[in-house]
Amino acid sequence: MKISGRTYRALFDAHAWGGAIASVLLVTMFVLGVVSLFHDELLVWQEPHVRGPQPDESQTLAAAQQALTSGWGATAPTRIDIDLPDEGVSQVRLGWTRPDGVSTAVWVDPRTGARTPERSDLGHFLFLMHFLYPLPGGMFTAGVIATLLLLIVVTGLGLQLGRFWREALRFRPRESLRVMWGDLHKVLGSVGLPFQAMVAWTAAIICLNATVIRPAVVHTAFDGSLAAGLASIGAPEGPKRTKRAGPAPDLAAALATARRTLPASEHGRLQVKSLGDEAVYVDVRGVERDGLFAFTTVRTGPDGALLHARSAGGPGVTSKLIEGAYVLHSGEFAGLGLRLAYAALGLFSVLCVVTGNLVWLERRSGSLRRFDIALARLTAGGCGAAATSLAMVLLANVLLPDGLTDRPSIEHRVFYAAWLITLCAGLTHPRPAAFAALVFAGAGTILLSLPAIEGLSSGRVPFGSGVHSALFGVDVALTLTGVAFVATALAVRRFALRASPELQQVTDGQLSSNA
Amino acid sequence: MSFIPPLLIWVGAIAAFAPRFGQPASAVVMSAGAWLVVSSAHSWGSGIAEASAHGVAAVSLLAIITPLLRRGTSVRATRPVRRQGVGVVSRTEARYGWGRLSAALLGAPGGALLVSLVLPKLVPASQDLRYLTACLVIVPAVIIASWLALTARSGLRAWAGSVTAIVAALSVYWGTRP
Repeated sequence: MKISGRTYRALFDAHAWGGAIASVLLVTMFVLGVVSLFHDELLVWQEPHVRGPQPDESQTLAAAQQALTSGWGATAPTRIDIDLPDEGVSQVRLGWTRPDGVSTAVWVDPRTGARTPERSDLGHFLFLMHFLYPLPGGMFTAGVIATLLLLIVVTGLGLQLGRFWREALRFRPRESLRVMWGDLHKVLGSVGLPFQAMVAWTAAIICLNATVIRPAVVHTAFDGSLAAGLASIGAPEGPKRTKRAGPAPDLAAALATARRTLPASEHGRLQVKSLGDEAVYVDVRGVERDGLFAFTTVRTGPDGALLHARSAGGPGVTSKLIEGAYVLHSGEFAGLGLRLAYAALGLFSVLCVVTGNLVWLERRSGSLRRFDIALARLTAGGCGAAATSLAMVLLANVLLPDGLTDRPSIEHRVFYAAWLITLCAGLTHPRPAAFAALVFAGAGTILLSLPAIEGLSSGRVPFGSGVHSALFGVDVALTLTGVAFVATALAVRRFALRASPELQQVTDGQLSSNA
Repeated sequence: MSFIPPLLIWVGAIAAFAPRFGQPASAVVMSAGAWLVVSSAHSWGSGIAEASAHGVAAVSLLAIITPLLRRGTSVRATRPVRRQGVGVVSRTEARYGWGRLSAALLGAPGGALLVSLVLPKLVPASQDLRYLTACLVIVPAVIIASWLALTARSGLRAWAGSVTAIVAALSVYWGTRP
């Protein structure tokens, strides 16, 4: 199939400009996406004091019940989340948001009833940052970036029409850099096309649905009825508050009802809503493997009576589409092997984005302009920012004192500061390649030393699993990522020497003053 | 033993890079692995997705590693191509004009977004299907609208189309309010 020159040029421009504009955020989102695949494993790593044998369930429920009935006073939150301990976790987590908007989380030891403030929410924070949720307008931006990624994928496919199969596996690492980056970009883009198209489309649906579609369709599809909208996704509104005082709900009865109603689901979280009111109810959230659907909810009244049940996928086709998109995106439909394959594909996607920028720079190496130099610095700064912020937030998790007030938010600030400072330093540094090599070497060194530092601070032997095999896995992942970062630093140094004289001049800071 | 089916896919991918009978052997082993993954999955859909993820990851990794392991010749330096003319931003601007570029970046995606959100009002179906329509239409609509604006005959036409879509969407929304 032959496409016209004008169409080809438009495809090329849309592909190149879209990639260049989105590259920094795409790299960060892909890197955090890879980390998010393992956020459950990170939980026991980030909270050393909750490591231990899983407590008896009756003890756990009694401790949670005790927490519900005492100490709230007049400022009882409208919703409390109770996370039952998983294997290798010895405490139950309680999280709530007060009416003034302040969120708090504590760990409760079922054996003693002692409460400890949450030390870190690192895994959950990185998971949210994957789709930019904590930033103002971040999730909508993530939806736009995901749509742009799909545009980049589609235009990339258009550019390869007629030569897709010939070039899909053609990688010539010993040719000139322009050929090598071009080949690598095409191989990673062509072979990874199904994955990249899938993550782009599912991310766009997830983010745009949460930010613009859902609020809009209440008016355009559900005739202004929020209740009808919520019911269509299997989350109908709960009983209205009566403003008459009522007892705390029976958590054991709620869990028993959930298990009776949906026996195949693993019920791990209890959400208590309208606490202190007569109309209090409990949403028992669970996970069930049912193809591309996973999330279940059983709603019970204060005495454990069944009010509503949502099986995996929900009642309507739209809830099935959105849940399927989420499960497909997060790889929750299969086991650890799939998540490792997703992690590899995520890292290949990062490489694909970066090589796209390198192809841009090599193509223009004869006539570099201000924008090209800015792109070289943006690529170095953006990639460095993703690596440094990740390394620094993990280091902060280990080194910050446990007794700090609002410790989790200090970790968040470390992440933001590391990301911004590295990006700004990259944009102003006259030698992008040297800067990238330095930053990657630094981030890699931090990650390589983390198992030992964490072991020293928590009293655990590095690479020893203790009560949870995930700890061993996290140590291995940190080491491998550290090695990959150091290898990237060495590769950047080596490739900088192979770059064309003009690009080398940029790396030596000579051309930037001329441009 | 659940790691064996995905492992077969990875081993099959390695075989593809072996000389002589590598590719037929790879096809057989990868197919066997994929069939085992699909048959042991909870559903056909999740099984196919899982097998595809392993296949794509394995082929990507090997497509990069295999050429690196081959004994190579000398590394060639890039010959810089001297170009005359304006800067890269100006070149693209000269090709499309700011009118078309701004329409492709702002007007057309904005118009497509509004049309997708208002479209459920016009679909004669159940509420759930109307919601589904918005979810399915929004992403392709934004992409196609941007593409149409970029390839429009002029910036004026691109903006005319965008403004028409925005006005149509808003008038349908306000015109059909209860």
